[in-house]
Amino acid sequence: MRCRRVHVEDATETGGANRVEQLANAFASALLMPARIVEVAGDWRSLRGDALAAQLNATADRLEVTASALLWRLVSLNLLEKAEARAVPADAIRNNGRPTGLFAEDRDSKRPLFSKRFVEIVARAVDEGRVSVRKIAGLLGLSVDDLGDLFAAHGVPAPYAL
Amino acid sequence: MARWRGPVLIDTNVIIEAWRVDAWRALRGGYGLETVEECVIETQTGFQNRRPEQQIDREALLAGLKAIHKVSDAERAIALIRDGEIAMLDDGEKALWAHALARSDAWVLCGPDKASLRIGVRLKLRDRLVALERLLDDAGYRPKTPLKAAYGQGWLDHTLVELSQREGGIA
Repeated sequence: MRCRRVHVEDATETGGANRVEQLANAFASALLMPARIVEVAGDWRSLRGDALAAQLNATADRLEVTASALLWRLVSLNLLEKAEARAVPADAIRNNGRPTGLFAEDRDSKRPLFSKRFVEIVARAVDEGRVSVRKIAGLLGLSVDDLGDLFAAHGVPAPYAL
Repeated sequence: MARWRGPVLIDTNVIIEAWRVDAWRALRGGYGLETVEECVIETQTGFQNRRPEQQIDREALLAGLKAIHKVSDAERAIALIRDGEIAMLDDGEKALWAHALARSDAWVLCGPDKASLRIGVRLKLRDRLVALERLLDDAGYRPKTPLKAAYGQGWLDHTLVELSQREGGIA
């Protein structure tokens, strides 16, 4: 997740300072924003102004990339004219359209502490009795009740409640 | 079912749950409850690991316990040698099993965590594991606040079958 954000926050029209960086960005873009997914995510050629920015932000959220990276991915796929891309106000797609500064920090603080995959593994270990609830809660720095909230936050069925 | 007359070893989870449903008085009146120092400490400190924490009166708790055992390093080591999986338990649960395995008398253990129950299954001590609900039933007490599922007899029965099958034993 962190790598994606680093990549996308540096996204520019040219894709990077040197050829190696450009190639790396192109590879990452293709990997994170597959053409067949991006193509059907919006009617890119007909969208303009606020509608385009909103669609960029929404799609970028779904793909877990930044809207600016998606913008230039659309250009590279010939789904958006370069002039149209340049016309999108940077402020409209910064931080995928969410408030920055203090508000952004507030939002970040509500992100789940751990990945869903990790939480699924924890749930399975608890459910199979391979680690005790109190033990894993302590290791993760959570209370037993917080552990239940963690499962819920990821949509992972809680093994059982103590 | 006839009430068990021997020692009942209880862990932190059970103490907290008995307190939550206001069943401590009935439990202590019906059985010779014993635990280990780690479990008492956990109920009295932030190591309770609950939100919100149960306010467990220390004097009332201690008055209800027939014995609070100190577990030696040797007992802990012997327990870990018998089953290394004990390391996957919390400190209180680990100490309680180390103490239980060092005893030669007939005891039962009430601790609903699956990892703790799994130790009992792996060490062929399944018949020593009891549910809080069963203890309270046999003592003639039905809490007004329902017990959480993991403290019920049905849940224990089902879980022991599941764990026995997973551990390769006959359910």
